Amino acid sequence: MKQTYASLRQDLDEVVAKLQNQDVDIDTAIELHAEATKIIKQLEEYLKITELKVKKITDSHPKAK
Amino acid sequence: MIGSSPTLSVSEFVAVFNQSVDMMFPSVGIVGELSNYRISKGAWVYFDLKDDDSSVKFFGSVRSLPGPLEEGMLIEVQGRPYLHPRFGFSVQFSSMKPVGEGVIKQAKDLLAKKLKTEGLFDPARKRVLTYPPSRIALITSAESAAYSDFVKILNARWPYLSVDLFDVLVQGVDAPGQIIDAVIRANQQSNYDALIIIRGGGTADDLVTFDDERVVRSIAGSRIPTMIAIGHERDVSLSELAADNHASTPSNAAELLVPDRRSEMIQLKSINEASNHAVLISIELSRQSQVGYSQYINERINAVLNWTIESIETNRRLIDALDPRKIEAKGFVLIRDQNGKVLKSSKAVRSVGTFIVDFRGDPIKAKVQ
Repeated sequence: MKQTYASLRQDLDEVVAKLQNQDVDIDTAIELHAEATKIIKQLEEYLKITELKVKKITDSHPKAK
Repeated sequence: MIGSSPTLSVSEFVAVFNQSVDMMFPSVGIVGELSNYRISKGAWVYFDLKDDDSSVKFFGSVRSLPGPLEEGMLIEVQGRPYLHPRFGFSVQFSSMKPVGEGVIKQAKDLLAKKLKTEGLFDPARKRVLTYPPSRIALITSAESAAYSDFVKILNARWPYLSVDLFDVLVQGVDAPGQIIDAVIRANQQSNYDALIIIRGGGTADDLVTFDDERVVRSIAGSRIPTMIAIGHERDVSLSELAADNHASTPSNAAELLVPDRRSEMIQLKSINEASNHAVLISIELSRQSQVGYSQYINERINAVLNWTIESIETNRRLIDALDPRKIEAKGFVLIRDQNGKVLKSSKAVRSVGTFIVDFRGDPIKAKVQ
């Protein structure tokens, strides 16, 4: 199932926080950077121009007179 | 038959009376002062509405009550007049509401006190909405300005979520029932991140739906986190107090619910730069660490070499000092016997009598006297 924007954004924040930790070794830093880049690309894909989707739920309520 | 009036049995009269009243007043609205208010067995409500000259009896279900009521309140009741065969005339009420701003406020205060005691407004109950949400249930009137403002702002800021619209009345006697029904139906689905209820501004009478006890309880009981925005009013409604979040207007609700995509894109760019910077720092630190180590190694090697060289030099000087030829150059000579064996003591020299004094390859024969 496609991840939500909120979920991807949280993943990105966690990866970048780890990357900015000064104790991380070079190999891990390179892996984390690749992961961050991948997530950012997915998020940018989300932000492409589109129209809001509104679906009216069918009901039988009479409207006010 | 007396005169020209029809003569009916009691039951016939009751039936004819009810048919006639039904035709004239299938439903009637009556305003009056609340009196003799009581609840029986937790299910049935009895009261009178009166004015200066008259009084009418009412009865109905507790489920139709908008909230706690007090004697003397001015109330508008919708109901059906009915002559009960045994209990006499009364109006069976279907809905009621306080009338007049003062009375509405009084009813609201009563209900607020009751619900606060139950903990419905407790800050510890408030849930945080998923930010940004992917799918929301929107309960409002599709024909309202509140709806069009809300959707317009969502579309401009964050058109990436799905909106399921539950089109309801947001004022009037039928509004509470429709809103409650929409909340129930939305909660029957499992995939909403938020339940949003909005309406624009209005009079106290227009907004009384959102102080209705049944509406407030349905919002408080929603499994889906809620945000309510009742626009432009001075006081916060009880529904807003019971919700997880509330906004000052429907437009403000849209702004709180979702980020602005342009700001989000700028933030992502900034995070990308921070990520690049962090990995470059890591590489540089690693490189510096290696350079430092190399320097250390070189220094150690040089130190060892220097020590070794010095050690060799010391030994060389020592060996040099112990060179026999150097000793001879200082005037020391070797004493040997006739066979060339070195004599190491005067006793050894006396024992042989005749010996050779070796002056660096120029021997002289000598004799002990």
